[in-house]
Amino acid sequence: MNNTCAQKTPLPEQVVQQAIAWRICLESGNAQSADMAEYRRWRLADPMHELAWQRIENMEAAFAGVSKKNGRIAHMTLKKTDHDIQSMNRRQALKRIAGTTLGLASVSWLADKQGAWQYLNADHATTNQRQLFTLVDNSQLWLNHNSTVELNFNAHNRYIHLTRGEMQFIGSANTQPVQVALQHGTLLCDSKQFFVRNEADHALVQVMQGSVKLAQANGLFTNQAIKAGELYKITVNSMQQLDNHIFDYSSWTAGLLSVRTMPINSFLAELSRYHRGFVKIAPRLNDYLVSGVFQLNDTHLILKTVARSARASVHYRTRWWAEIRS
Amino acid sequence: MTSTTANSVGFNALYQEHHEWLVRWIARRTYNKDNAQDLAQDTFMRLLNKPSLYNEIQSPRAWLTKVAGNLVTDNIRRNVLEENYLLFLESMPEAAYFSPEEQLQLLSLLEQIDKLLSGLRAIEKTAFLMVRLDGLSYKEVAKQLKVSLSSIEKYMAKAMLECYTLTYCDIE
Repeated sequence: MNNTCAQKTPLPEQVVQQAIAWRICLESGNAQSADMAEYRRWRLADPMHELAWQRIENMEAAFAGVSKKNGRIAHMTLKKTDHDIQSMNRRQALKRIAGTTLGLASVSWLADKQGAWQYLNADHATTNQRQLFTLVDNSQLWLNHNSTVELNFNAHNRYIHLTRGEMQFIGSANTQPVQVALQHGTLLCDSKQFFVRNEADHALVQVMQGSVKLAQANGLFTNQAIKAGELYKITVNSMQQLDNHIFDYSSWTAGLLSVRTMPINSFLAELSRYHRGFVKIAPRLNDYLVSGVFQLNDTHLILKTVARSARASVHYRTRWWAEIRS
Repeated sequence: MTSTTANSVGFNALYQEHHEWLVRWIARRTYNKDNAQDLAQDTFMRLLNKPSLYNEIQSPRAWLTKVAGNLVTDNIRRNVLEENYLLFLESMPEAAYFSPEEQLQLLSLLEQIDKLLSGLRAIEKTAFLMVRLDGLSYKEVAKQLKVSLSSIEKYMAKAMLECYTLTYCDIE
């Protein structure tokens, strides 16, 4: 066994073999009480023994997790897969090359680790619908699905921390600038209407009225303003203008998805915010460009419509698993 | 030639020289243009993560095609697995109660398990899955497979060592 276990503490092969042997001894149904005593002694004799044992335990716990509810389907799936692979000839096998289902960010709506504390700390939050909130100074805030904000509005400041999701701000008579916190800096918004999306590694900002300036923690871009009609993507060290004709980042406030010649995979990624379930498309459709205005209240209908335009159709493998293909 | 700069220069040169060729090779061999770009990218990614390999590769194209070939095999296998999974899901009435998250999670686990067990002989794998997934005792498995109890113990040991090695050691 090689010794290049770079990321995890390497254990001597002998110790691993011992841990496995003990595991088998205990599982095989033949263990005597003398064996139990010996096993305990072995485990206590050296921290490496304990570590090896824990690792084996963890591996087995993963299998136990699968077997409880799903043992049958798991075993059948694995077995049939072996059988199919062995009985396929080369041509048949090559037909099975395709992208896998979840290349998309189609799982954006799945609960993630951060979600709990974002919701706990939020002043306003949404889960599976968009909502319009009126703030203390009569300005308004749209939150899209799965979004959370923390606010600090007082006599001197208007401060918004979009901790999750996306928002659109609609100003009131109050002319104080609004500050919106991002991962790596703050937006200073002298604007009565603007949109912000918060993703793990970037933010999107679109200004409809007025202008927005970015104050980065690292001092970059301080003089750069985003003017009305402009859309920017902001990361820790870049600020990039995007074409805002392809996708309307604000149409969701009207319950619509409005796109023009948008690559289908990007479109499905945007749709995933609203659609519960997984969508897979046949690779030959990867280059298809979507155009249209779609109602968000029926995402299944959107899939059907888009599929038809692409000369394909939607097949539901399970209630939650859609495929767009011929 | 062990500095990072030297290696990234080496990588870039390799990429420039062989990338287009690799895409065409993959497209030709798999009769499929759609995925060739992605597969070629993935192949180069393997090299990117292992700078020490630059010095070991005698013939870049031989190495690239070997890795690409393995990726193609993995890809095919994963797709067959997913297809079979969906087939069984469709046909099981109880699957209607699985949330989409659970459906996804199980598929992901199956992909991992499949990878972990890929080096085993058929009978070793069968025995292991009968114990772990069907919940049978070693004795019951021995009886059903018509082998000795000690054979089952050997198969289990091999399987567990295999899983351990793939999980805890970074082997290419």
